[in-house]
Amino acid sequence: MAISPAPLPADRSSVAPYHPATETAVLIRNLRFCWPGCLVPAVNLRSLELAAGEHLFLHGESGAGKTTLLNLIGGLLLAQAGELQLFGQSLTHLPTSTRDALRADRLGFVFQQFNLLPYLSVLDNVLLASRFSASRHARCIPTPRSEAQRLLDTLELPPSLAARRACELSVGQQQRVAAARALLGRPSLILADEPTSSLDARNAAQLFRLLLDEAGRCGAAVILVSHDPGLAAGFTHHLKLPSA
Amino acid sequence: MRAILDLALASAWNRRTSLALACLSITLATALVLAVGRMGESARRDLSRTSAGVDLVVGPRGGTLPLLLRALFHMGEATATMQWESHVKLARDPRVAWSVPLALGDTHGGYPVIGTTAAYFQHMRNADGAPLALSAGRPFAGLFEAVIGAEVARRLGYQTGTSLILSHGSSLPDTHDGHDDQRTSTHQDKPFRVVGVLAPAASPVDRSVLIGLDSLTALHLDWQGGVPIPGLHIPAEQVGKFDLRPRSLDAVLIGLHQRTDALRLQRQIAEAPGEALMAILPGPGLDSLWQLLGQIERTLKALGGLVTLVSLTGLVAVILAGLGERRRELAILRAVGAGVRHVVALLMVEAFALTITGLLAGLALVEAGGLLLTPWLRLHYGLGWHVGPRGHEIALLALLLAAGSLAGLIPAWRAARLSIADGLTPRL
Repeated sequence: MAISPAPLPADRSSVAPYHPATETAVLIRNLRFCWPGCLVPAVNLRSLELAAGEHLFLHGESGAGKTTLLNLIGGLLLAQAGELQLFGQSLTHLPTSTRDALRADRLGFVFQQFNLLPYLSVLDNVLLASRFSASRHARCIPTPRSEAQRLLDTLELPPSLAARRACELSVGQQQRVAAARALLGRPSLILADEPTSSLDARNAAQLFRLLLDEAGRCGAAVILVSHDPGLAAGFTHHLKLPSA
Repeated sequence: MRAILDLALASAWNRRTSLALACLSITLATALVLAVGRMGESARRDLSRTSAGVDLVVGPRGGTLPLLLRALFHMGEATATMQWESHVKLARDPRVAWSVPLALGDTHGGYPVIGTTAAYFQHMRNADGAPLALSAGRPFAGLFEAVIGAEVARRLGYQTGTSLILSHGSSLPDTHDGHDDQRTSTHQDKPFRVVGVLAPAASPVDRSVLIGLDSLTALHLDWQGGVPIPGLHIPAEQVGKFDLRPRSLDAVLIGLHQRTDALRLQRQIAEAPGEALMAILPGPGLDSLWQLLGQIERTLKALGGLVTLVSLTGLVAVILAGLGERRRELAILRAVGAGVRHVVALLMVEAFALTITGLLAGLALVEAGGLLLTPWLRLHYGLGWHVGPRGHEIALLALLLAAGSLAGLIPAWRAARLSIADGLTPRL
């Protein structure tokens, strides 16, 4: 674990040598991302390394680029410069289809809100994670359906809700469903973007604990974004992004 | 792929109202295009059957088309006539099985009056190829008896026993209003009585009034050169004393024992000394007439094509408009690992399913219309269409299906270009 925010402007000459290892979940060197038409980079990170199974708490003020960095790591955005590796594979050099497959196989997302397809049932929303990857499907033991039910149970969602349409749930319940989906099929990396920001403190803490416990059980690395430093307690690693 | 189909179905059900409207517009456009095409075919068939059974049309030498229009459609003005004796001579030819003489010129309520013989009822056929049938009454037999076509009866509200007065020449309906012409251009002194009403035939006879040639001659005993002879008036009761053989005819329809004789007889008639006559084969004549009318059909088809284009554009518009609402949906799918190809497949499947549903529903609509509506349409308007898809229609539907699916590519292409993160950001 080595973290050092890049000085502004980025010093591109100081690229440190790196050795891709299979146990490295995330590796970042001199990553820069600018929104189109914007001259100031939204993300400018010199170095980040996260080993498999480690939990990173990513915090910083609003506008510091936390969500953007998370989207870059998840391959939802592409950086203009620098190196970003997931499990030894360079995201920037992968074809789009391979990147999509990597996401389906090994990643789990929990967003701040709007995680679920409103027209699918709770159970089908969780099962979405196993729909686009055969290996993810195969890792659901014994079946994706029973594994999804177990996760919903673990996250303390009443079983009666499984057949309900996602749009009928409260926000707190929706976030639990999203967490269950991210955990389905033993992902290698869970990316959570302020998953508890719309919950009250008690519910937030509970969901937090359940998410981290379950991630620890399946050996997944976790990167959690929050603006609330009070949540950082359960994390081994911390990174504060400077304000832009 | 199974996952995509399930998702597409669930997602489409979620937006069922707007999709149903897009589907409906495709349905209606398909039905319109097919119905126009089928009505055109049906009209063409009816047209070609106007001459069913007639092997030759004989008339005064002149233009082919005017003779055809006059003999088969009872339209246009006669520029020359032929003598009754020429018909008698023709009818005696051993190759001729039957002949129907026609004399036109008078009208009633805008409908042409055809002077002919009872042979007309034996040999003329309706658009379905069956012999003419009467829905009421009997063929004319005596003087001043008339048989009217189905449309005449329906439009003018006539039935057997109705008395009617013929007009001389082609006066338009409802124009003889108190004008001085009224006395001089109508045959008010010799009213006719309707003795029979023809069943709908989907042919020009629907719009005709049939009378005997002798009645026609009797009408004009005291006329000369299109006007009544001044000072001469022969009452209806006295016409029987006169020679009522027709003076002149407009055309003679001929049926042969052997159709193969048609060409030789046509040449003989053209080359015969004496009266300048000509004979035409109705089939090729009608074909050239259809060429003339084909412009209308082509216009209708072009309109149908435009309507189809509009409905396909509507389909693209609905899917594209839905894309705005679906930004988040597609982004969530991408975030859980769906590839660009999955998103493209999702949108293409939807366009394909909507198009094929619309096409099949449109086809079903036309077939149902053909089964349920056509008998009524034929009865009242002489319109209608056949049931059962034809080869070229299947090809058209396949083309439309391909076009609809390709139209789905436009929103799919747009969706593929949307960045995933874009869809996850709540927007104002």
